[in-house]
Amino acid sequence: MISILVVSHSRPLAEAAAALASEMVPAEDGLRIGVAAGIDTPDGPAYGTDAAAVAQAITTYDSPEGVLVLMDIGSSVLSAQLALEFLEEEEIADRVLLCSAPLVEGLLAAAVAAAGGATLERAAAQARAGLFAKQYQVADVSTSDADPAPAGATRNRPPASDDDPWTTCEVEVTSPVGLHLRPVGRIVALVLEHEAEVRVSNLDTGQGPLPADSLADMLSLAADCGHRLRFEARGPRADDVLDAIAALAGTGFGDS
Amino acid sequence: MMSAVPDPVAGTPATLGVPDLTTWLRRYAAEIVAHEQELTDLDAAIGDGDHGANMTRGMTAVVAVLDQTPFETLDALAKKVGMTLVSSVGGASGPLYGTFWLRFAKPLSGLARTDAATLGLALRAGVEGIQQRGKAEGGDKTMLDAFLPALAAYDAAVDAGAEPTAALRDAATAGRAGCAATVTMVARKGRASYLGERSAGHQDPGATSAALLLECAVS
Repeated sequence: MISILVVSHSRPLAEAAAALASEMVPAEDGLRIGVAAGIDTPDGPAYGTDAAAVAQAITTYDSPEGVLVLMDIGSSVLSAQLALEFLEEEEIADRVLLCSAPLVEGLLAAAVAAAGGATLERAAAQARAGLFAKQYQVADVSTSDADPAPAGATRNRPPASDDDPWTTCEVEVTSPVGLHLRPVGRIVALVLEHEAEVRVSNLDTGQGPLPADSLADMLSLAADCGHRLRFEARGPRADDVLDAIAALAGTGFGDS
Repeated sequence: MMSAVPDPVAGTPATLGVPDLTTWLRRYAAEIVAHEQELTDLDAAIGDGDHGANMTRGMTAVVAVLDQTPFETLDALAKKVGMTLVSSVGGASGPLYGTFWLRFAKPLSGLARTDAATLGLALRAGVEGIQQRGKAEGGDKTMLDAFLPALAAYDAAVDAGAEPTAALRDAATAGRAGCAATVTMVARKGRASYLGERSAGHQDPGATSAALLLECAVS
């Protein structure tokens, strides 16, 4: 499993973001999220970033599948790039990926993808698509400005044959707060566990079908309480994954 | 001291050695402290107002290193300065000035003293490092607007046969002029770029600390 490193000017910000992301995935999945944020000064902790500390943290959180680095702005990016330069002669540098995703949105999406076994590139694509979901929900960006293909190009699941038939199930969103972040995280995790290709449509808004293994796409469904969702799956374990989704829906997607 | 008088170690005035670079850095630290408020005010006008405090913290840490550790070669000294800035400055000037000194070190590998031409290679490597790290160009209202004209002036002086002291003096003059020219520029990089047109009318704090660095090599 890949690990994730959060680089920020603010240590409390990074630690809180990492804690929030950890809430999105089961602890037993063993996802490791590290923090390299703030600097230590003679007067105590201060805002800022330290490229040497980032390099050290990359080494600490190294995994065979790689380390995804999410950053806030300015010197966080410069320090992360310099940290990679420090490591450039070591093998580890080949499996570190700096991701341009917005820190919080990207981290949540990356955590779910990583815990589901996503590759470095796929987790990064999911993280970048984190912004797309919010753009869709807030609707303050014209569609042409928003990322048109959030994550579809980079999935690492073996593709189902186009000739495979789709199996369908329909469920209702029963939680009063709609299909929010954590239930969506649970659905995406379920889908990633199975080898089936799954897509989902919101029958009440007409949105979709969208890939159900993408946190960003799932959030962009904007499914409110009472909305009916159609999940369609194909591939060897299509029935299994739809059964699992139906069972999850029966618990209010884990909220009840 | 830049070697205006013959240096007994080098046997020639036309070089810059570890003691010269040490003096340069100590002078710069003192000037940064003396200009901390000015740098902070410049940064408060178009950035986040921490450049003075960040640079003071960084150069204070550098002086502590100079007090503790003797250095035998220019590259060992420059490398240590770079790593110290990287870990102590905090803001974007940490990785930028850190990169400057780390790249500056490379052409000076193993040297206790350098001639004007090799020093020019070190300066160029440092400035190109900043350029690469910050992805900025001349005219973007950044420290490069002091460094790039300074580099050109340095190279022109060396081509005309100048020794390090004279070439650095030309570089410092060009760097100060380049810094002054940032007043009318509109920022295209860094926090100041968020202000757009409103960034014009203010001298860039990064260019100011860069001009100071060049001046401290000679004055």
